[in-house]
Amino acid sequence: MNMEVTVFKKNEYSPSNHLFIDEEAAEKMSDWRRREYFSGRKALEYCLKEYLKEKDGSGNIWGLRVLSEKGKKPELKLPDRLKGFPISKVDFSISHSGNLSMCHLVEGGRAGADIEKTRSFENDLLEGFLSPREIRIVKSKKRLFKKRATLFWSLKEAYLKAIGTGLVKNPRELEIFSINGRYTLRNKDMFSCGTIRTGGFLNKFVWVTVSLK
Amino acid sequence: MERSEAEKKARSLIAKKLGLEDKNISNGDKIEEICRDSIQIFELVMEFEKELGKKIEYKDICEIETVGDIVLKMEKEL
Repeated sequence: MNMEVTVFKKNEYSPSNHLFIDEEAAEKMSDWRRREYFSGRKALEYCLKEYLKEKDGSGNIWGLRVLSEKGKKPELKLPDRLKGFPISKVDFSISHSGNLSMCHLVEGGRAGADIEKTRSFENDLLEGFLSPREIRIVKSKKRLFKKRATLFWSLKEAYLKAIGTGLVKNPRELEIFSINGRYTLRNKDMFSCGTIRTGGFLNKFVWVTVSLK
Repeated sequence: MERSEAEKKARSLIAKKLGLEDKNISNGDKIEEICRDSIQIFELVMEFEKELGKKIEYKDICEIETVGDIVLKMEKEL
């Protein structure tokens, strides 16, 4: 992997820029969903500008579009001037929670992102996406329960977004391990081969980025 | 299960799980609009699995877009 960019953005309308917006789809959305959608796409725009500034000094995103197809991970459609350049190997992932959106961009790998407002989880729900061993870890420190449970959800969701399945694949098929203080995931017999970053804001949100080779 | 019964049951389950009122839920409502995030969608799927008494195939989850799709699934499976 050559380059990664991650951007966080407060949710708001940005009607002046429709570069990555499917207006027909946006019109059918509720207000809050549209606000999320616009902000996520705006975060993508910032990521791409940063990426292109670093790559060729231009930050010029003119002509770039996003292709969204049902059941598939959205991808970039490049204008002719950018075809064959490293940007053709760029993958991205967008996530929203509460009033925040984020976008993670990876060149030469697969990107997954998830941001979640820290929340409580009932036992049934924990058992739905975590193994007994993971549940023991999450419950081992009461004061960290909400944050850890939310983080474990985010780790799995970001990973599933990176491999392109999303929640179509059962998150219980993934197992989280902490090796030397860093999280990694095992998918059946394979450990993830890439970088996983985690963080939090004001104790209210946790976020995860996954960059797979 | 009859369509009207499936509708009633689906709405009641969604309302209970998401803290909404039954009367505010209609068949055309999109799941990604009535659920605030992916965790709520996952919770909803788990609730319907409990009701159906079996796992919903994850490929089937892709086909569920609206409350009406859940109603159809319940009508067929129960």
